[in-house]
Amino acid sequence: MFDRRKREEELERELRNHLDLEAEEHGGDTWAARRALGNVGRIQEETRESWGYRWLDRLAQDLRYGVRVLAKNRSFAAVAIVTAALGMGANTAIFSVIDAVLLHPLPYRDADRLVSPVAVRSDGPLQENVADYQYAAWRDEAKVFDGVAAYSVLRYTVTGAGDPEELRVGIVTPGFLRLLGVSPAMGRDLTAADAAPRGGTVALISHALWTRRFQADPAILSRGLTMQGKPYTIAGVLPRGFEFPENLDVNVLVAMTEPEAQERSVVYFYRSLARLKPGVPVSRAVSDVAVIDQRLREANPRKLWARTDLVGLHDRLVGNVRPALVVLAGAVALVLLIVCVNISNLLLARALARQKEIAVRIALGAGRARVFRQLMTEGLLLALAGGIGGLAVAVAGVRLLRAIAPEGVPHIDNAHVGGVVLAFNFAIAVGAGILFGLAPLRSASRLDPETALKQASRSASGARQHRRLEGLLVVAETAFALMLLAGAGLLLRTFAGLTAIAPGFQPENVVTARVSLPYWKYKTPDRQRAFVDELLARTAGGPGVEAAGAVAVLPYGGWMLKGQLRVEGRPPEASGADEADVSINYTAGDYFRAMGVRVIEGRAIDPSDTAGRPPVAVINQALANRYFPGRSPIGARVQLERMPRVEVVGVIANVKQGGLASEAGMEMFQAAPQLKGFGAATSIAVRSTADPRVVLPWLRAQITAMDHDLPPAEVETMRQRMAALMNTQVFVMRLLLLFAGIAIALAAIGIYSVLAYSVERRTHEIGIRMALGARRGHIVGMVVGRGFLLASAGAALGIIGSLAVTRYLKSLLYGVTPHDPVTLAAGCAVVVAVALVAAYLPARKAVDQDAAATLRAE
Amino acid sequence: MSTNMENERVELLQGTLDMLILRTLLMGPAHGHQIAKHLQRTTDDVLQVEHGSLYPALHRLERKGWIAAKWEAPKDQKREFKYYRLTPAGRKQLAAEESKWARMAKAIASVMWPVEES
Repeated sequence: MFDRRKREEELERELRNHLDLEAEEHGGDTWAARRALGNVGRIQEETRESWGYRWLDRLAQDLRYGVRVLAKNRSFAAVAIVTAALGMGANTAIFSVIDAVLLHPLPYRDADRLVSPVAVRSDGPLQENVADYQYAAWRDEAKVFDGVAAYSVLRYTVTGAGDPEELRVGIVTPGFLRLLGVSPAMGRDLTAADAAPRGGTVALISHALWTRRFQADPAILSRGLTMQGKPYTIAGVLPRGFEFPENLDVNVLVAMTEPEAQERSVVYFYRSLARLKPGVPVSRAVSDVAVIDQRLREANPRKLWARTDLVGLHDRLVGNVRPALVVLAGAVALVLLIVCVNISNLLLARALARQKEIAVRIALGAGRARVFRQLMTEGLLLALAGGIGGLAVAVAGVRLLRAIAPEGVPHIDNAHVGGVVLAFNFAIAVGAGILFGLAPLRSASRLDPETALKQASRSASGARQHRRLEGLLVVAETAFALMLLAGAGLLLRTFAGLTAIAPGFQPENVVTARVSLPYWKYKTPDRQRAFVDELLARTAGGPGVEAAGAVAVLPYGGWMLKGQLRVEGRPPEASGADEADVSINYTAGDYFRAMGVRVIEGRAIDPSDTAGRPPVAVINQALANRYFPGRSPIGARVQLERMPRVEVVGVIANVKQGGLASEAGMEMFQAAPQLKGFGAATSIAVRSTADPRVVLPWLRAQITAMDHDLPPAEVETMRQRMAALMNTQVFVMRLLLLFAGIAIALAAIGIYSVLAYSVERRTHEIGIRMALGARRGHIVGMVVGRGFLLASAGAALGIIGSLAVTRYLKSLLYGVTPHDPVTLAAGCAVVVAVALVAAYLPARKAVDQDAAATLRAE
Repeated sequence: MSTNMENERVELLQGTLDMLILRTLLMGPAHGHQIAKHLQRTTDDVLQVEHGSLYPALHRLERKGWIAAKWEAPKDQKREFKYYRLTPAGRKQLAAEESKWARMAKAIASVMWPVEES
């Protein structure tokens, strides 16, 4: 631009010199000089053309003209820009989350070489834990790795200065940080000297913990930390933004001794990480590991082993949120397409109104290319304005997404509008701008200036092609809207399905609390039991309380101890994998009544089952079916490994521990007071008719009152616990519903505007028809009929589109197939109904006008 | 001079102006006015070169790289003029145009004044 101003000045100087010299020749007659030179303006214009800036001038001119045209049609421009801003903003917001979650590399050196070994069993889900000696064999023998590390995550209670709190602690092998390529921001890394078999007493703390609990004390390395009542020294502080390679907030690292390759009687299981050597493909590493596994298998033929697979660390951490994000990205893209179609339609209508102007311009010699460019510029102008507005929408949208996203979406807090996201926003704005301009362009390219100019002022019939294009756009947006609606519908049905699953108990009016009793303070099971007994006694007198009990593992409560079951009078089964699959649970107090567990046969365990009474057990239906097919298990005497022999007194309904939609496993309950040497059941369930808003704080206060040193207990209603299981589905469902709502509203606007416009164009014709005695119903039918036709065509296309894309939803669905006909039919019904309403309004307008007045209007 | 049309004057053929400019600059650097005067004088005012059309042509030639420009003051003057000079590429171009022109002139002449064998 500077360059250009300089050239202008130079040209002016050059011409002035010429004029001066010429004037001197003419004896100072400047007019004669001017005559000799010619038209200075034209010379400048022609010279400029030789500079090659012409396109810039034209662009400026087009822009000026475009702004003028839009300013003249304020309401049109406003509608277009606002819808464009919404569409693009939604896309940018979703993209910023995708960028942060899926596209950003993990904060480790060469993170793409990090893999997680997982165990794959042919019949089960991935198992991320590996046996210690298996890990050790990979460490010592695998040549494809640059290093391996093992770790586990535990919850420790931190006391001392400040409030007691529960923190996640990573117990890691000494080379863990080096494997990730991370070094402490302060102090030193953990070494083998800091390690102990179950974790040493030297800790690295996170930057967050350092600032929060230690007020960023620069002398932190000389201070200590009390965890589980034991003193720890602090070796260093992790860098800010360090992330533990799990979707967990881990704040402390301690070192554990490298596991030994020798197999021992007690096998520990750890998570593990490996770094591939540069250039080693995953497939080769997998086959190398398989060879090592095979050797181990031969050494221990008794063990049934799963196949080991190596999963990219990034994949493992974000793999479960990818489907949801991909679905949302697809959904917002559809919304944006609908927005584009709608604006395109508006521009098309205006292009038709301007047909004469365009024809005049072409007739006057404006190149067609120039006219096209003008139309394109208008579309781009709208799109860019929309894009800028979209940034504001995106900023708000990102904030909203972060707030409502389900827990455990990694890195979502890093999502923000900036950098790549800005570029993305700009790119979709330009893309949308081109899309906006396409339809009017098509219509203008067909324009024959002669016929356009010859036509009478009411250019009614010449617009047939135009009408077809317009119809096509409406059909397209209806189809897109149906696709979104189908997706939202499928998730609605999933939600309904998950909610309707009989959980095997009555979750209403149940409040739960998970108390963690630090073992350094409650050293014996008896101490723990005493605490729980007192809490239950206190609870019994609480607001509206009908029953209260404790259990080791609440429904959907997580990992359970498993064992082999032996039934008296029946030979032990041959060693097999599912022998060990009976989960062990135990209860105290009136748990079954508090949870409302359905008793199918016999009785439940209740407070009368005390230590002195004969030991009893309650089994679930899955266990009864497996071990007592066709007969009553009541009275049978059974025994789990290392547990006392008990008598089965009841059968209860299955509770799907693994999640709402999982298969129910075999489960056996025993009475906690009758189990010597076992820990206490520390999850409390309270059935109360009082409002949860009263019961929850009351229960929390009771726990704190009993021991101030306890970390805050997790107190929530059973319904809340269950809702958390459906978080992802609910999140995606809500957003899809929102998008589908926007889509269908836009489609309705599209249908309305097309019909309203066509009614307006045909005012004259309709007036004549009415004057000639056409019935109102006939006219309404004509207009609504077209709307119906368009909507039906759109619905048909939408069904095809839905069938093609809803399979991407599959991993989110439950109880409904991606091609569910009921959902599709319902979606079609909604689309067509909305279309009919949208079509009825212009139809009413058509017949309500005064026929005489419309005829005079010409 | 373009105001009082004289019959003897002929309009410049399309595309020849560039060649004339290049030819003029073969004698050494010159600014716009000098080029205009030179063309006017050497053709005895027969060729009607509108001074105004000179400048778009000069800028076009500069862009093509056939001539180069520099602001310089003549020895005894303070005022700077934009002097154009021929570049090597311009020399080549001039030679090409010249031969083309010569062929064309010869062709036209042979049609207009056929040599009668006597």
